[in-house]
Amino acid sequence: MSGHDSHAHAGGHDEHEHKPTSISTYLGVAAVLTVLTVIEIGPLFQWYNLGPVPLLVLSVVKFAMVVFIFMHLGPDEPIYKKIFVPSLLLAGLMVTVMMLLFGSFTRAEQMAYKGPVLGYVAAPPPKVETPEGEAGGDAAAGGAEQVAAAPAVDGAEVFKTNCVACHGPEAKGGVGPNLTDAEWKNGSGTLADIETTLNKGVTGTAMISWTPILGDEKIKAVALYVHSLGGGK
Amino acid sequence: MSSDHSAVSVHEHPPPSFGVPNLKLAFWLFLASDCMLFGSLIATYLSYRGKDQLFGNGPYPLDLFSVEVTTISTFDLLMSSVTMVLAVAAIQRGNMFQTRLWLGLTALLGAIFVGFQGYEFTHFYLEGLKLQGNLFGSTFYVLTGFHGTHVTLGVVWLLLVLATTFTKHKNMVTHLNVEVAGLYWHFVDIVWIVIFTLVYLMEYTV
Repeated sequence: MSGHDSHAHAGGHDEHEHKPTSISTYLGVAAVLTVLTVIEIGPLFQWYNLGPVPLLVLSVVKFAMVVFIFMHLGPDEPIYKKIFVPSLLLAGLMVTVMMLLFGSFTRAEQMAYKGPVLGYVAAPPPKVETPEGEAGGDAAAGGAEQVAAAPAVDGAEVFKTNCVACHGPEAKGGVGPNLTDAEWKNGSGTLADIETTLNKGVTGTAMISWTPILGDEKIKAVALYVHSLGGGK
Repeated sequence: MSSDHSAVSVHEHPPPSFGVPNLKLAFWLFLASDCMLFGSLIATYLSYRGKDQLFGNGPYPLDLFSVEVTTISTFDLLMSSVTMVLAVAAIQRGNMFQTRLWLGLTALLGAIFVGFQGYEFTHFYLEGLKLQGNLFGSTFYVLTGFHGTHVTLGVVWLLLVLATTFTKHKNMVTHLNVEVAGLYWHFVDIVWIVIFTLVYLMEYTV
């Protein structure tokens, strides 16, 4: 075969590279796409509810039908698939990874107390608790109040599991305010005020009511811990 | 043989190296890269999804989304993909009247979609969603804005093809050219299929 022959063949290629898809196939696909979209929008009008997985599956099916039939990727030359499909998979992988990594479909109120992010929990607990009866040394300032309320639960431990996600591992703030300085966004920094904030939460912020999650004992413990961090009054 | 090739490429379109039209090959390469563009925009949207609630910094998606507008514009774009394949099928059969009809209808449906997006953006903006106001605003406007720009360019492209069929250059409007315009149009449609599910539908379930 000479060079001239191969050129002539390639030149006429776009005329008969694949059998044309019939109009009835196109209309059939259009009907299926319409039905799938009607199924998808059901939850919008609260006719019924569809979980995230069925929604994703429906979307992938519609996507594939358009790509393989309307865009002819199915019957067309394999070179187009080799170009497009890997890129599509890479993009899909990236979206999936980011979605999982950032908890895209996790509700905000569930996020606040997720706690063990980035291994904060693995750090050794700071020494705060002073056993009852030996309330000398560091606890001198807190004095009588602290001894009277001293609970059996380690407040620092509770803080580390539930609060560091927003207030930071050293309680110096993050999404939530710094708890070690004398500035208080809610209440005046007394033990009672801290406990109130913990119990009731702060409307409009990620600070939820912790009573149902921690219970009274842990709330008292963590309030005591926060109060002892330096900003307490 | 290789010297033959280079001799041809001086004055003609270079011969296709993969046995397929260069234009179409190049266009699939462009679509592959556009996949990555939208992949990263969607990934960014999802990374920040729901995080405004942590800061109490609204407005949130469900404060703004309108079920009716989204439904109609989604159907509109889906149907434009159908009219587009009919245009490609028409030129393949050499039916110029139908080619013009379906191309015009596709462009019209595309323009309606852009109109809906313009309405949506205006409505959202007036409700307090700003490009720099919160994470939802930034990621939503950038993602859907890039998509809307693609649709707008597609409408212009289709109208140019349609206009060319009425000029003395109408022989330039070949099956290949309409097919490539169609590839672009369908790609814009499949991106919307993904955005519609991940940005809108998920809001009503998860």
